[in-house]
Amino acid sequence: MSSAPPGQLLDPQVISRLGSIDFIARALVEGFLVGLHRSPYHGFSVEFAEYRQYQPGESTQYVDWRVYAKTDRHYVKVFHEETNLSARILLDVSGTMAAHPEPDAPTPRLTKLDYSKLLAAALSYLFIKQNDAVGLATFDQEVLEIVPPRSQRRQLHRILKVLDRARAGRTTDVGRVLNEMARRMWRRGLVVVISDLIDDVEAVLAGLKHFRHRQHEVLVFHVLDPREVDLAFDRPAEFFDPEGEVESVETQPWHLGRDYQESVKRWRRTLSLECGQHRIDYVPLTTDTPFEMALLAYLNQRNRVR
Amino acid sequence: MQFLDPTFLIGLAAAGIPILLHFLRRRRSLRIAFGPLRFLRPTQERQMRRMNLHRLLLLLLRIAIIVCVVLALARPTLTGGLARLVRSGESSSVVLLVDSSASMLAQTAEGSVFDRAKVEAQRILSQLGEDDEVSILLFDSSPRPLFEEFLRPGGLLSAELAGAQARPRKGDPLGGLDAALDQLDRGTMAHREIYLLSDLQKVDLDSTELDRVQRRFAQAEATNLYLRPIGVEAFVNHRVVTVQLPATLLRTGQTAEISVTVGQDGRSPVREALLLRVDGASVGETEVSIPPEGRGRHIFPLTLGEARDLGLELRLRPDRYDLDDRYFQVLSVTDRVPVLLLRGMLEAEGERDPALFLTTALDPLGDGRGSFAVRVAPARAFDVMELPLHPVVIGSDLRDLGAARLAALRDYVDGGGTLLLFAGDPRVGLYLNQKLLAGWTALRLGDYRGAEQSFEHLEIVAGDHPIFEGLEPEALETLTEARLQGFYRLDESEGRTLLRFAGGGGAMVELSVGRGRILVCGFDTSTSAGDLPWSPMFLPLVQRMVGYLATVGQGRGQRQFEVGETLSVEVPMNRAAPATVLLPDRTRRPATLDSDRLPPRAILGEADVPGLYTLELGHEDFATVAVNPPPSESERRFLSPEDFAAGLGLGDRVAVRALEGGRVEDSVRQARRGRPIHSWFFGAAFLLLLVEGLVSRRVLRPPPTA
Repeated sequence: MSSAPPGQLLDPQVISRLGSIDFIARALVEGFLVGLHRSPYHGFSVEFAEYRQYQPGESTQYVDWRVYAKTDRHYVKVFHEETNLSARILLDVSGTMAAHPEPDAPTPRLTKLDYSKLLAAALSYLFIKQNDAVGLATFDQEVLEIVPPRSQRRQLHRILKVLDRARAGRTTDVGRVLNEMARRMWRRGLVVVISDLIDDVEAVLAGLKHFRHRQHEVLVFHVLDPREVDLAFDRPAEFFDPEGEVESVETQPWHLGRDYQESVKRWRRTLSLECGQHRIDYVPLTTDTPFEMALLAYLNQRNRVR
Repeated sequence: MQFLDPTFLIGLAAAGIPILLHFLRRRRSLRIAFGPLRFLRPTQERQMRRMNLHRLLLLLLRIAIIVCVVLALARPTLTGGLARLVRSGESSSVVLLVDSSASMLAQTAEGSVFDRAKVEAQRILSQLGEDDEVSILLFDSSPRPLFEEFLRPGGLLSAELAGAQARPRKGDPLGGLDAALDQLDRGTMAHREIYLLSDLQKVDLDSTELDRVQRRFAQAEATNLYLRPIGVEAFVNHRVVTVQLPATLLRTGQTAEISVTVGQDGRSPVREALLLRVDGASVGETEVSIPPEGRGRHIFPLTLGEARDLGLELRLRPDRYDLDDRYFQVLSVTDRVPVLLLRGMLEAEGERDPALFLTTALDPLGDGRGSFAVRVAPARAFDVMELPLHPVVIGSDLRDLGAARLAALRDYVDGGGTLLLFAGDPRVGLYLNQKLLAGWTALRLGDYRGAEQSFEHLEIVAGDHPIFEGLEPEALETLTEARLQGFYRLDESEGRTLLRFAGGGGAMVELSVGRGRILVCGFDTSTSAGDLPWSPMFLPLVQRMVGYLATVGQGRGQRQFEVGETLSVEVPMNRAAPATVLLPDRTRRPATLDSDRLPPRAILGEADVPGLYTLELGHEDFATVAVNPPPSESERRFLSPEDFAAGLGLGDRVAVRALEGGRVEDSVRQARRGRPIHSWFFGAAFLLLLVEGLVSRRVLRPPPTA
C-alpha cells in the first residue's frame, strides 16, 4: 500500500472502497503523511530543539550557562513549544448532506455525508496521531451527539463509532447550532466545521463569527456535490428538496446552469470573503476533491495555531 | 388558393402528434434530490417564462412543419389576385382546339360529347381575361377555324361556337395541334396556350406528322398545352364492322351472298337485330349473336335483278354511338363486262393466234350476248381513251405498244384498272421484262422453256382462289392434264402464285400494282404453246380470270368511301353531261366533270354524311357510291391525358397539363391562373425544420459540454 501513489490513495473514489471507517481514516492519514515526505513539524511536546548564539538585548532566561562555562560563549537553548490543541469537529448530518444528485451514475460518487464522515475520521486520526485532543459533534437542526475532546488513542474509536452511527435525515439549522455550540465551548481551541452550509448565509456566518468571538480557530470544510456546483445534468429533471423545505423545481437544467453556477459561485465567494475577514479558514470542497486537499488545509491551519 | 389533391388534407390531423408528444415528453423528467434548491428556484423562475415560450414556439414550429408538408402534398395552387400578381399580368394568345370528329357524336345524358365539349369550351372562355386573345379551332380530319383571326373572348366567339357542328370524320389531333401552332404564330401575346378538348380517341400518332409537331413545339416559346378529356365514359357499343360481297362478277339473275360482320365491345353476349335494305327497301332481317368483345357474322342471300348499282344498307338498333350502327355498301350488278383485248400486229392467224382463242372463250357464240363484251384492238394503235371504259384489259401480245400507250396502260392499272398478260412467245416475254414490267413492278419472267422441249403440266397452287372456287375436282384435274410447251417460268417471290408448272416456276401470278391488279400467265393461248386451248377447262378458266379481275378493279368501280373524302367516279367521254348527285337525304346537287385528266371523272363533292350517293348522268343513274364513317372512330378506346402527352413526346419543352375531373373552370383556374405553389410549402417546411432543429437543440437538448 505504501508504494501506491498518495494522490491515488486519497482519491475519494478509491478510499470509499477500502472498507471500515477506521481503516479508511488510517489509510488516508498515513498515505497523506507519506506523500508529504519531509514534514516541517517535529513534534509538539516540550523538548530541546537547538542552540543559537545569544543576541544582545535578549532575555538571559534561556542562556545555557554550562555551555558558557565550557566555551566562554553565550548560547541560548531553543525549545519546541507544546501546543496543547483541543479540536472539535462539527459534522452536519442534515437531510441535504445525504442527497445524491446522480444515484444512477455509472460510477456513483460519495454522498456529501459519506465524504464528510471520512474526512472527519481522517482528521480525528491525524489529531490523535499528533497527540492533540479531538472531539466530535454531529448536528442537523440541533446538536445530536457530542464526543468531548480527548487525546487518548481510545478517543478515535469513540469518534469513529459516532460517525458510523450518523444518519442523515432532518432539516438543517446550521446558524443556530453553531451559535449554540459556540456558547457551550468555553475552552479555546480549533473548531472544524464540515457541512454543506445549506442555510441562511447570514445565520451561518453569524455562527462561525461567534466561534471567532470566543477566540476559537475555525476551519470550515464546505462540502458540496460537484453537480450542486455546476448543475451539469443532461436530462429534464424534477429537483426536490430532501428536507422537504423548498418546493420542487421541474426544469431542463441546462437552461439554468449558467445562472445557477453564478449563484453558487456568489454564495461561496460571500462565505469565503466573510470568513477571510474574520480569519476563518474556508475550504470549499466537492465530493470528488482528493482528501489531501482537505488535510493540507487542516495542516495550514495547524501551522497557524502553532 | 386551391388544392389539386385535397384528399391529402386529411393528413392535417397529424398536426396533433406534436401536441401529444409535447405532453408525453414533459412526463419523462428524472426526480433528483438536490440540496441547494434555494439557488435553483429563483433562477428557474426567471427562466421558466422564456422556456415556456421556447416550448410553445417549438410546438408551433412542429405543427407548422406538418401542416406545410400536408398542404404541399395536397398540391396547392395560387388563384385569384395573388396568382395574377405572380403572373405579372401578362396576357395570352389562346387557341381552343375542339375535337369535332365522329367519335364526338356519341350521345350522353347531356347531348352529344361534342355538345359537352362546346359547353366546356364556353366555360374556358369565361375564365379568360379581357386582355387575352382567343381563337377556336375545330378539328377532325382537317382543322376548321371558327374565325381566321384572334378575337377577344366574348359574345361573338361564344355565338359562333354554339352553332358549331361535329362531323362524322376521322380525328387527326396532330393536324389540329399543327394548325393551332400555326394560329398561335399569328398571335401577339407573350404567353401561348392551347386547350385541347377531346375524347382523346386512340389514334396512331403518325411519326412523320408527330416529328413535325414536335419540332413546332420545340420552336414555340412559352407554350402551354392543356388537355381536357371529355366523354370518355364507358358504354357498350355495337357496330356493323364490315360487309363482304362475293369476289366474283355479279350478274343478273344470280344469288349473291352478302356477308355481314357485326361486333360489340361489351362483356356479355348479346343478340342484335340486323336489317338489310336495298335501295331503301327492307329485304332481310335477322338476329345475330355477338360474343363478348367479339364479332358475329350473318350471310344474307340476295337475288340480283337488273344490271345496275344496288345500294345496300345494313342497320343495327341504334345505340349511344349510332354512326357505326349503319353500314352502306354498293353492289354492282352487271350483265356484260367490257373487255379490251390488245393483240399484236404480227401474230399468226388461225389456231396459232392466241387472241383468237381468248375472244372465243369470252364470247363463245360470237353474237355479243355473252357475259363479256370483247373489243379487240391492236396494241400499237388502240385509243387510250377506251381504257377507263373497260374494267379488264387483256394483253396477248404487247410488243408493239409504244411508249405513250405503255405509259397510259401503266396509269390505267395504277389508277385501279386490271390487266391480264400472256407471255408464251420469247419475244413477248422479252418485251414484258424489259419494257412493261421493268421499273414498274418487281415481277420478272424467268427461264424460257422452248416449244421444242417436252410438255409440262400445270399444278394448282391456290385452290381457294376465287378463280378456282366452286370448281369440281374433276374439272381441276382436267386443267392439270393440259400439256404446255414454250412458256416462261415466273418468279414466284413477287405476288401470289395461283398456278405452277410441274417442273417448277410460276405459271400464273397475281400482283397488285397501285390501285390495280395484274394477272400474269407464263404461257399464251395459242395451240403452238400446248393443248390448253383445247382443254374443256380453257373457257371457264379464261372467263373466271376476266370475271375475277372485273370485280377486284377499283378504277371506275371504286364504290366505297369514307366521310370527308372527295367522291369521284370515272365516266365515259360520251356521257359526260349533265351530271347531278343524289345525296343521302334525297336532295340533289350538281356534280362537276373533270375532263382535264384521263380518264375523265365526275366529281361528286365531299361526303359530309354517311350514306349512298348516286351519280346521275343525263337524268339516268350512272353509278352509286357508299360512304361510311371511319371505322377507327368506332373503337371506343381512349387515351388518358398522360398517355396522350407521353405519345406526343414533347418532353419538358412544353408544359402539358391534364385538366381532369371536376368543373373545367376550376381546372382552368388552377392550371392557368393557379400557379402551383407546393414547392413553396416544401421549402417552408424545410426552413421550419431547420429552425425547429436550432430551437430544439437550444431548448430540448443539453449543450455538448453538459
